Amino acid sequence: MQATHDPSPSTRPRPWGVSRMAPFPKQSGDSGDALYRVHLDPVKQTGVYTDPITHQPIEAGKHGTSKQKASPTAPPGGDGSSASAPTGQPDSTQDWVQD
Amino acid sequence: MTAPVLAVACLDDPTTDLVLDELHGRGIPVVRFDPGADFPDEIALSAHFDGSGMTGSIDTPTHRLDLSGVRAVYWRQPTPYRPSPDLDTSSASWAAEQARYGLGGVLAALPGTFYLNHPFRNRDAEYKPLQLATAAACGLAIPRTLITNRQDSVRRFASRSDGTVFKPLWSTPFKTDNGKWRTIWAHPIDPEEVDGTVTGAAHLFQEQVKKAADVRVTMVGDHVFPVRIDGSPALDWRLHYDSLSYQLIEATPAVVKSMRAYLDRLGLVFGAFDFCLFGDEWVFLECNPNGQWAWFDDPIPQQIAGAIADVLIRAKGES
Repeated sequence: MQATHDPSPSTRPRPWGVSRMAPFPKQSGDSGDALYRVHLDPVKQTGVYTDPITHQPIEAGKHGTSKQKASPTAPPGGDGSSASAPTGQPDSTQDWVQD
Repeated sequence: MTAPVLAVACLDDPTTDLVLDELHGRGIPVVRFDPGADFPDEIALSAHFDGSGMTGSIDTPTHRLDLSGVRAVYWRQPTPYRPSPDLDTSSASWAAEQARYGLGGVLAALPGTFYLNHPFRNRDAEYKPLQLATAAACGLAIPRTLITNRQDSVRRFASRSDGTVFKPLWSTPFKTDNGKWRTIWAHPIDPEEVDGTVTGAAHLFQEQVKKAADVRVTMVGDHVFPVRIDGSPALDWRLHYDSLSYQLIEATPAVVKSMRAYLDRLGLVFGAFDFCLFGDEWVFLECNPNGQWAWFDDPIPQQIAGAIADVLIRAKGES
């Protein structure tokens, strides 16, 4: 991972918009850090979702933390304290790192 | 042999699966991979260029894709190209950029291939200033909007509005000092709260429309799926999915014509338009060129997946 923490003190005030940051809402159906595995069906090329412990198939979208299942704005767990960033943008997970 | 559809998507994407199920049911082969995640470890690329153009192949763990034999590209939401954690920082950054411009460039240049949507067109169409200007040029009503870093401009703009909304120009996850993820949702503001620190970035302010409801219109080629969204307790309906109800409605011919013109102007086949309803008027808020649709109530997702499959199968030539 790249370092994301800059130890040097800020020399200018944060832009106003930063003060308007708000949490990602908890949606029903989110189950925190529920685990699942996904691999590609070699023929259909669709995702095959399985329980990592029982290896039993589970239905896509019913596995708790899918990044893009039930809603376009899936939060990263309840309080936003997940280690990884919410994938991409609300409603717009996309393919470009902005220049 | 039937030419395949290439699906460029991240692995964990049930939305893509809905479309691929449709294609499979119709006997259309698919090759799928996620360039940012799968390359270079699981993807082998050989693209050749000469006087006749580009030829070559991409090998995935399960398929070989002939670069000159792709029926159509379904460009969903692949993982961004990221530096590998297994290399030194400089080498990893270099390799990631080479992957983006190399593999990403090849995928954007497939000869004579139809894209839903072309990734470069998606990139362009993500910019809100272009969205608003294009919508207005295509005859859609838009709210008065200001993009600025001037405090006095904000005050003047707000003084002429019966309610002002702040929304981000681009939604990026933001990590707080104590490690929490945050983002900005569209919300009404008191212009008195906007202080001099507004000079430190570009900010978008918009006149608040006293809306009766929201409408998300998913356009897929000539297929139009206008879904009325009711029940949101907040201005930004994405905050309260659990409260929302969805109803397929009709869009007026004039709005459909304008949306069609909007997509054509930006080189898009697919677009997810957000409107709010103000009386009889449909007021354009934005158009996400790669928006989500699989969360709607059944049978809307199946209908949209079917429409995307239709367009990909009928595709001929460049989009």
